Amino acid sequence: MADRTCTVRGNGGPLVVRLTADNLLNSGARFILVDSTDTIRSNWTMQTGDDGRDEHRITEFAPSALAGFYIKWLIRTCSRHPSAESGTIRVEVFQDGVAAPMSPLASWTQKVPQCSTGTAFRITDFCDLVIQ
Amino acid sequence: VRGATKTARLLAGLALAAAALPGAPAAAQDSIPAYKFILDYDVPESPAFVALGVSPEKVTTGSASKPIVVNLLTQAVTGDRTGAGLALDFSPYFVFGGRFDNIDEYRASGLKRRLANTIVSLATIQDPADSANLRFGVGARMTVFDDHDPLQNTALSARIESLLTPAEDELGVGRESGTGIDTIAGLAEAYRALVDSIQATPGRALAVGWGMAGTVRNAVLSADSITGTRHRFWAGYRETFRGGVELLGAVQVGEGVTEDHSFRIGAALRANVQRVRLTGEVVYESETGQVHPGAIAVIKAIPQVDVVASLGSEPDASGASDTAKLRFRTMLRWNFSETGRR
Repeated sequence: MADRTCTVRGNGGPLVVRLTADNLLNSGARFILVDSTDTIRSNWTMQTGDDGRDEHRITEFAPSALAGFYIKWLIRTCSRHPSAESGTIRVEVFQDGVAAPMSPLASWTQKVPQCSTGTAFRITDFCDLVIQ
Repeated sequence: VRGATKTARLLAGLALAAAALPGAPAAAQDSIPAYKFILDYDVPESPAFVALGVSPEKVTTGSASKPIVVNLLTQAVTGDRTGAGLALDFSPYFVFGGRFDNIDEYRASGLKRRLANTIVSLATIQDPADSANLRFGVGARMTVFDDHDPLQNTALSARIESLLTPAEDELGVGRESGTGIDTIAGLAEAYRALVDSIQATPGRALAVGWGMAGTVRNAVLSADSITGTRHRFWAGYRETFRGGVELLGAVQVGEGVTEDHSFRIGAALRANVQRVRLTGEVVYESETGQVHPGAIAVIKAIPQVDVVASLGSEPDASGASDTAKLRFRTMLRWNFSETGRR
């Protein structure tokens, strides 16, 4: 699969990373922001909770300073209802309230295990930030 | 032998119907692993078995629906032949694509929540009076409310997600991607402990159901071959006291054999001891005017399978006699669900 890119405006507002999980899923995730020398510059966790979403605002760096950076994540998801066997897990990047173009989309519609089984569906992926 | 062959044929048809359901397990393909089996809290009584009058528990309540549950029934009636039956239960809301935006919507939308906790059931058993015929049942049951529904617990998400969240050293640099199934240390135990603590707190639940039973003559399904259809409606209420002891009450109204309508009123006391759920019940049958005691044990034999054994008296099958029969039933409840890909 081709590397994922996320195009943001260098003169726009701070980036907001949003994680969503629908259909009675619970997700816990860790994200890192990595620079062009493969150094972790920021590190945070996200949990979708009962409303199915969480957001994190990247305040340490202005968008113009993110050239060559990428965001990487590890998400684990399980289902809370015995009959809800699947759902959609999505990562999006917003800037000034608008979803930044991401290609391909970071969205997985997936069968996931029941939390009661002690197992979870794992997603590891990343998005290269492209500054316009 | 002829009846047994026809039973096998009809049961095979039910199995094929199960396989045709959108959410039913299918043959393993590429990265899809063998199905894992779940049984995280009570598998409910099959509504179709209730319609057929062969449910081990007469005082039935609701619990969370499961995608697909297969019930295998054997029964031994004192002085009568042994019969066998099979019921297939499924949750149509999820099987046919129903979804929720999130857990908050599950709590807020009573209609969708009740649809999600509705079970439809198909069942068949051998007709004890004529082995050439088959008795069939169809039924549906809806959990109207259940204080012990784990999705109503607001603390559970935070606890689960804290366990799901990877530690800092689990995510390193490098442009890599992939998916899989992880075993999360402590998640199953934490979930079980939380559900157990929820179920041990005082609370109430109400379920309602409908079922229709009939006979397929010569085991050939056609409009002309179905006879003796009877409908039954029921409601079951559960009150849980501190410590987890439950008082159950149920009312059933149905078309009777010897009169236009009959009803059944029952009460039961239920407690969980280790991996065994014990129930004692007393049921009044208006058709015969008899009171029937019974005892049921549900044993979690292995994580995915319940073994149900019941012993109790029941009216004579014809309904015309004043005599009661002692009946021993056993049932395997096998809950199979796909839980993920590796």
